[in-house]
Amino acid sequence: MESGGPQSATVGDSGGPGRPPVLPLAIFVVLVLDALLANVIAPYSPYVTDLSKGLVPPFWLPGGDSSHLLGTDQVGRDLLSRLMYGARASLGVALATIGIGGTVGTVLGMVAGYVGGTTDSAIMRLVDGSLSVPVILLALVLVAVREPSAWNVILVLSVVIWARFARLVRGEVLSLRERAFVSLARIAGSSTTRIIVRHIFPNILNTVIVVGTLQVGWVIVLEASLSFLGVGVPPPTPAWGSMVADGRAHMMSAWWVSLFPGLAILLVVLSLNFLGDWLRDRLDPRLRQV
Amino acid sequence: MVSGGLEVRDLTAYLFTKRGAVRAVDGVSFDIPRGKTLGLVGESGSGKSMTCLALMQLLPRPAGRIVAGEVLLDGVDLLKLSERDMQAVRGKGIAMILQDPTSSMNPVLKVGYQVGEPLREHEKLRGDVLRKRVIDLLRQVRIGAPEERMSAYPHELSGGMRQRAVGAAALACNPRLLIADEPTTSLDVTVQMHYLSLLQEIQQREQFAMLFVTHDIHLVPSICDFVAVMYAGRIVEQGEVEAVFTRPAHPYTRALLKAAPRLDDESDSLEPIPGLPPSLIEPGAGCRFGPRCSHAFDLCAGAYPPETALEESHRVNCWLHGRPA
Repeated sequence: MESGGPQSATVGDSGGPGRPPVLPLAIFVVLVLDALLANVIAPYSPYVTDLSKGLVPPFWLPGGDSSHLLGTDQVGRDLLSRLMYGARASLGVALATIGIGGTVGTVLGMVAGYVGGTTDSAIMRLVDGSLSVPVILLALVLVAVREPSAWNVILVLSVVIWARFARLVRGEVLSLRERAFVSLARIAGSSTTRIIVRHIFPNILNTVIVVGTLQVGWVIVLEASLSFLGVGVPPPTPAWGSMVADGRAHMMSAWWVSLFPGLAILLVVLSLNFLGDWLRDRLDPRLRQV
Repeated sequence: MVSGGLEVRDLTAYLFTKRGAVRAVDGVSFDIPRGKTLGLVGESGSGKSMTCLALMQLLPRPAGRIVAGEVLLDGVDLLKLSERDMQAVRGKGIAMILQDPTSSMNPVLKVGYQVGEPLREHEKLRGDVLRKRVIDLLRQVRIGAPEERMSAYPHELSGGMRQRAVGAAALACNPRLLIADEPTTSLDVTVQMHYLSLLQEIQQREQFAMLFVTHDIHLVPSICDFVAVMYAGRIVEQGEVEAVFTRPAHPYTRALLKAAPRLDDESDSLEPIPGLPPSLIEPGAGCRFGPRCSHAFDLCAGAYPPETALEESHRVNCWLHGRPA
């Protein structure tokens, strides 16, 4: 939000927390690159099986093989490669969900908060409705009536996630619309649409970005849960959740099959939460205006 | 009757609440000729701000509604316009300045953008033409280095400067009526007079009518030509400033003049007005100031006093001056 140019380096910029948290940022960047470049950097195809090389342990363990750094699963697929491709599914689904759900939620939240009255009540009852839907049940039903696909997962998660955005944005707008600059915009003859777009939206953008970042982690966990239950991204496309599920049967003997995708989920969600917290502190207008 | 300016006739606006209709603006009439200023004074809750919002037709929804009256701006009745046409009047025909310069500006938009907004909205100006006009406007309200201030954010400006920027935005489309709702309340006293004289100077040049709302009655003589004293939704006394201030007729006006401190007043005691303004849900038939008035007599509780002309432009609603024959 800060403008470029030398004269903007005034009071406002000195406040607030400084540098981003390095480790979480690094993990997130590595992950994004990994998802984008999986087909270039992954050592093996994530789909090719080799039954003679099933359940090879990671290289540092006895029986390990330096050609499969993180070992293989029960049908001999390279775990590292599957993890890399799995990032695609996890991140792709998460970003699409946040994109769709976040946009819908933000727009409806702004309308509800600004217009008020019956419109507000109608939208908020919809929010209550979607927040009370059990996600996993909805996903199971949807998979039962449709072909399993990544789009199903995105659809299900968007239906749940938009309401969180809508509720938060509406709350912000309720207080914003009482501010004098909104009255002045009306006094100056601006239309409702214009006020929402030009005056309300820039003021809630920070909140939306922060919530979006924090929700990515939550969506990744949900997607993993759905994949674990077999209603997520359909196999053989690797997804971290279904990879954890694949290793269930061999947990005692070949723990690495489940552990690595589980660790990946943990690391990503933690990093995103740290990044989100930092962004919140950084973008909070009350801190910025000191 | 008057050549241009604002004429308000019997403006009546109620707020419909669960407990009944609040008669916030109850049959208010006044004129403001072009280039002149009317001071609207009264306590908090007397209906001053509601009168302004009613003029703008921006009463709080869904409770507020204009029930009756006429608002003539240069002869056109604004109450008969469609909402769409009214939207074109706001910001162009009528502009308004609010009390608080801090929240009057959007914290995330640059000053230049906000000052130029009415021009963009109503005159469809863009690009360099717009930029030049904005710089002119900022210069007009004496904001130094306007080219740089344009790209500053509101929090980078001082309170006085921000209020002047808000003024610049209000004056952008050369309005025919400027409503200033306590524009100086949150400014320092030194900045206050500077701001007011600036407004006056621009008014002299542009010849717009100004409605100056304040609860500080002693600000009135320095900037207003006329004054209207409002109490409980009605104007109880109005006239030329000189007449009302030297010969206040309504006990409420006298009480207001005594309740505020003055520099030239030797006596060091202020006289508060006892009691509180009445509820505006079904107020009684009598004079609304009656219960707090030290001069009240039997007539006062019975019926609302009619308007009595004391001098050519000095009118009062009080039984002390208009006893029935």
